[in-house]
Amino acid sequence: MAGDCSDMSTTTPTRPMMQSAAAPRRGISRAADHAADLQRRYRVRSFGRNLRADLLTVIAWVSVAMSITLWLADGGLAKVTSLGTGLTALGIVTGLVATDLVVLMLLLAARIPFVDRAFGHDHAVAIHGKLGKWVIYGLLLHGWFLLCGYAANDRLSLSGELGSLLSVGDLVLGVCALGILIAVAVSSIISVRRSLPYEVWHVIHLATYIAVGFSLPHQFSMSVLMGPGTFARWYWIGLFAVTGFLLLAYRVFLPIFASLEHQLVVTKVRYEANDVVSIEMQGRNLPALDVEGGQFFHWRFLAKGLWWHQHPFSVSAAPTRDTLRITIRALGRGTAQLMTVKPGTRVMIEGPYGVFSDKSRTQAPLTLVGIGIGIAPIRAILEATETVPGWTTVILRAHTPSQLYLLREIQVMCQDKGARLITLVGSRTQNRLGETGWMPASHRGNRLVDLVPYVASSDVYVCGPQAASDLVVADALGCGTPADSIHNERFVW
Amino acid sequence: MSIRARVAAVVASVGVLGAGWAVGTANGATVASTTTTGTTNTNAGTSGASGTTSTTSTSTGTTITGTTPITSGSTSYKDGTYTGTTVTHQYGSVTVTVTISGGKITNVTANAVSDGQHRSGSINSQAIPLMKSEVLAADSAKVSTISGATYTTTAYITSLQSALSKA
Repeated sequence: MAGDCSDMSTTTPTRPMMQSAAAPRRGISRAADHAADLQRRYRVRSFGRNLRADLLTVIAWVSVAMSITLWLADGGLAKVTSLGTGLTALGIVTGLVATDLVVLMLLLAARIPFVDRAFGHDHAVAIHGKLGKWVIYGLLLHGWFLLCGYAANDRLSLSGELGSLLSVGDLVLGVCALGILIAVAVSSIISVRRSLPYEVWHVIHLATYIAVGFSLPHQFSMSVLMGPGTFARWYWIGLFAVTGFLLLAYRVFLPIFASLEHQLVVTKVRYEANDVVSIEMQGRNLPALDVEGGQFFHWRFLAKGLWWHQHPFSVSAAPTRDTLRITIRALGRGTAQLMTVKPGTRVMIEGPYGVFSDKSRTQAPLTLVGIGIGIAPIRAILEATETVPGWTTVILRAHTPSQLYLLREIQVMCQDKGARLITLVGSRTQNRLGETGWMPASHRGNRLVDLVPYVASSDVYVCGPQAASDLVVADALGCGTPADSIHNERFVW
Repeated sequence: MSIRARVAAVVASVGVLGAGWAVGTANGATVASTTTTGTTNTNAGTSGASGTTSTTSTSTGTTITGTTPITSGSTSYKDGTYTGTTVTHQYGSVTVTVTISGGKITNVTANAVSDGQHRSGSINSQAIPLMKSEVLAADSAKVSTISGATYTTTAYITSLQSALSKA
């Protein structure tokens, strides 16, 4: 088997699988058949995934257009006859667009499996974050334009108009909603800088639901467009209802049902290295979870001092019929407490999430790069994904040899799968240009392609601390790996 | 976001917006055409009133004659004070009382009730005085609505017309 593959590598070094699939075969080679078949399957699947992502993108854009269209269809433009009515129209449109973006943000955060699989959980959250900025701008403009427009229409001063507007109860709620949303946005900006604890950020973020609730009355009572009996009213009610349903289903009920059904209990806590443990859990009917190696759950350990915070961890072994395993490192206060978790502790889960798994494969050749504790998910992917002997390389990167976690297990797996294992140990170094690279001193000046000659036509999975991961991703891009084939899941909330 | 998604999103969005715009302008056109026909009718009424056939037109259809005196204005009102029907609109109701003296509109008052929401109170307090001066100047119900207070002023005109129809 390995012989066949190394033979292929000498004939077609750059695009091995495409070539081997197209070239006339001199003899029946099962390995080449397998590789070509795998390549075809991954190609079809990645095409389907891209199509889904594109479809969702188009739906999102159309929903924004739809919010404006309902206003246009209501003869919104015809009402613009003066400066005052023009400003009012601008205020209405900015409000409608911002409201639609809020709905999109909620849907992106709802962890809907279809969205998660199309974009990836981390990407969905990244889009969610980007939209947040526009929602705040849109809502501020909405308020400002309408205030100016109404003042002009009523021939009142701004403060006079504001006074008369604030006598309406629903509008006061709306202003409160805007205040809450601004607080949420500010807390998110601060938490990106890591100067706000997760729990504080989380509680503030939950206030978003209060804000949305506060904003609803004035939308339906004050807007002429959404007045009783109009199509627009039903459209928006429907939109909010569907969004609320999906949020409740995927963020609240399904996790509770999953936790109740699978009854996970900690069975074993194994010391792996300093500050690193593997936690093994047993539960019922785990195949129903449909977990793939590399995916993650939000875990909540129901023990004293632990139950009130949850943590995202990838599984570190492909799940069996009744066991799940995570390997975690004490990186903060919360994870340090987890080191003390006792067997018998009940566990609640939300997930599985993420596309850092076999799900996002695009090609048959495979390069896995695990850095530090990022080795754990890499191990799970290696175990779960299909590999072609000779076309699979596993690179483990750590500061010290003891930080090559799960090394023994990975060595065995690499031997079974015909994968090459490369361990790189030591501090990061700079190249001749003075740029920091991700290689240690022993490999100074090397690039990914020097370690993995076929890296340009392989899937590259990178997991580890963000700064080091970014360097590997940049290296892979520089070596010619298509962006589509580079997988680096960021840990996001 | 792939180029394919970008192109498709832009095309689809423009299509949706275009459809909305088309519907909006089509509706606007029907509104405009009904107003024009309305004006043409009243114009016909006016010319009829000034011409020889005025008496026949007033005597034949009572429903039509109701509007004819309003539009012809100056001469046809009987002196007195008349209260129109209470016209309810989306955000409240309006009842107009008109005083005719010497065949002319000398005073017009309106009882505008707001539902206490939707800025309708402030809209009413702005719009009602404007409507009064317009009606007194026009000496008829042939006044235009005030933008930003369309509901209130449309109801106002309807109530005023019903009051004048009694005069």
